[in-house]
Amino acid sequence: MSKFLLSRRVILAVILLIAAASMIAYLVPQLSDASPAAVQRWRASYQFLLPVVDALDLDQVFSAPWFAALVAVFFLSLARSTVQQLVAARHRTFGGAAGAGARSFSSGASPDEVDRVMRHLGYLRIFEADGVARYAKHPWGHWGRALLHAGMLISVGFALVVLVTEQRGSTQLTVGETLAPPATWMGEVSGVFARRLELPFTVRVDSVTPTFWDTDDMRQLTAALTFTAPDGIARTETVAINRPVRARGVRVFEDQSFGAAFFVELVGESGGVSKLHMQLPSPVRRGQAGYGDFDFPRVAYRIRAKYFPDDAGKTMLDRDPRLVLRLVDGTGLPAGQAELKVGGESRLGPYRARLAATSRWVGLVFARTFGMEGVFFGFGVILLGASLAYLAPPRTFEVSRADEFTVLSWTPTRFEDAYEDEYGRAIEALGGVARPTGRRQSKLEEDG
Amino acid sequence: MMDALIVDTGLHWAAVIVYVVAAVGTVYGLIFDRPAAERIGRGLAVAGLGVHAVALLYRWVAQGHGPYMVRYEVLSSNAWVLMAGFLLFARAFPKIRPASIIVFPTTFLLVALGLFQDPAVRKLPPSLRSIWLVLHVSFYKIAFTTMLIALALALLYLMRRFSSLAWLDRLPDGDTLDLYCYRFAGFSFTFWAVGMLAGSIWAYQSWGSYWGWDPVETWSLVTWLLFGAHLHLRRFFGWRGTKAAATYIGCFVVAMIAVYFTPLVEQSLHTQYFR
Repeated sequence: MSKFLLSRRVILAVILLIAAASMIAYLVPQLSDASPAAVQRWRASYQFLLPVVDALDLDQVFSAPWFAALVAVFFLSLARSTVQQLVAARHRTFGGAAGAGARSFSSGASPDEVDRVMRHLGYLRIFEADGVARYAKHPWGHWGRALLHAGMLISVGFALVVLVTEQRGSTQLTVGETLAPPATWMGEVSGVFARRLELPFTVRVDSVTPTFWDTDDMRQLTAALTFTAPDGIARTETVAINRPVRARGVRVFEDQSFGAAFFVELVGESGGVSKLHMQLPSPVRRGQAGYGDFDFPRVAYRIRAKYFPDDAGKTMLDRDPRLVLRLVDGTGLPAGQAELKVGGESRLGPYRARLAATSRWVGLVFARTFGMEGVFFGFGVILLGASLAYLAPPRTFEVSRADEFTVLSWTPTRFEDAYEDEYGRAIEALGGVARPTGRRQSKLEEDG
Repeated sequence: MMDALIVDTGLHWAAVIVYVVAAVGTVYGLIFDRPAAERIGRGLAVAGLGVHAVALLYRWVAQGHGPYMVRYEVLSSNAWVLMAGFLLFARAFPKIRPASIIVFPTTFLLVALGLFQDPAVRKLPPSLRSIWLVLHVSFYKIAFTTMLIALALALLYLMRRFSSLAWLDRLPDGDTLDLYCYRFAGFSFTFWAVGMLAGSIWAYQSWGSYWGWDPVETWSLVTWLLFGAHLHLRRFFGWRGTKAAATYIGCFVVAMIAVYFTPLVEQSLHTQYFR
């Protein structure tokens, strides 16, 4: 098993297969992300691929058993390789003599003189036994690649923990609206080993405040939220985009969606009153409209709505909102239209419509995750490993005695030509004479 | 605001002109063995970098945020980092200087391409106000720089290998070109990874989810995995020379699809602002 996991061919195949799987997930609409309509359109267009797609779950790659198996092999192989690299790094740093280096020279200098010159050049003596002393510059650089792999291992491991335990729910709340457990989510994600997210508090939106640049781009969107714990203690927090808040182990994020909420009363011919609550997204530019389509249980038509935050079109803020409603029947034909302002009434097909009130709404995401700190710790280890590998490439001098001479073998692990001058300075300082070595590494070889 | 745009685009055009002259000088010097022309070309490149820096700084101050919002400024800042990075690396590793034959023209083409995009200022949305975003785009720009240098070295290797043009004999030998291509591929792999990590941290901070399989994210991961495979082939299967150069060029094509093509054709968080 160890041989299988350490096999270079296996890891290469796994890497390429994961890349291929990611490409397939891009090309084939995934059930978890794409709309049902988009999935149907794709399936209708590529019917000849459907046997393969259905057999291999190519429309849900990331939850397919074969993808999980690939990730498992990758993870185990990475783990085994990391252990091997850590052992190798330890040996290179503290282990026995490594043999003839890339270049060597002999010198008549005494061991003490050699020691003084080595220290002057920044080399540390890290090993001495059986007449061989090893001096190394940046010996910690031997750990670079091992830490890089260890960091990947930690990140991938904790990422899997996050994946299987995360709980997430998203919703849109209007000012004054309270979300209480058990919450009904507009969108939710639960890891394989997690239940759906249940809030340990109730949350009420007290206010939603958008601000805009004079170019109509959003400057910031803040919302004041009141969290009430089961014991009745309430606390108000302000959440903004990129400034989440935390409440009882749940992080609350503001996503970028917001807009105007309209409370419309529809009075039917029989006198029945339907109270409708419509949330429409804010337009992107002043003078433009925000659009939405709605289907309500007791309304026989689809309602297509649009609103202008400011009737005069002079601001992005909802100072003087105008709501336009159109009724559409089952065949798509319009059955009535009305334009309303707050307090206004109008005929809307077979109904009388009245805009009772307007407010604002904001999109919120609630998430409880375990393991993110581990993922970020892994990132830090990757950065450390990469820094050591590229910024601290180790160079070693192995010093031994041959007859009355001191022989120094120099081995750089990487970027040999960038450090040639160190070797030259050592020869000059010790009055050395270059020797033909038993082995010269080719420029394309790297140590271990 | 119109006056500021005129100054901004005017400075950029000036930089393009200087870069073009620098490229002509460098390429002429390399092909016709005129070291003086090469040196003049590099000096002009530094001058162009200065003019370009003024253009970017002017826009930065005028709009109140860095050059990573609209396509115009993204291409321009990519070009600046490319030229600055190449000149720094060429100082540390003089043997890569012949890569200027590809790097210099790419630089002015990027700036020129940017100048055909809408230069209108867009204010920074709140989701992009994060140090992690700055780190995310910075590391990707550095990755692009090292990637392009490696591409240049791979192309020079293949030209040296399969062409009999006399001036190619003055380039470093094939082994050296291949070795430096390997090194810069390793740099770009690392910087690309750090860019992805910083992006994940930013995404978690903004939306509570560090990975969303956004098309740009997916292509970025595929690129990184392919570079990882390329480096494994080099390191453990001894691939070098023509095979390595050819596979590297394939990886580079995938990287360019991830960085430039996908944001054009896909709907995603990355394309929301960067179209």
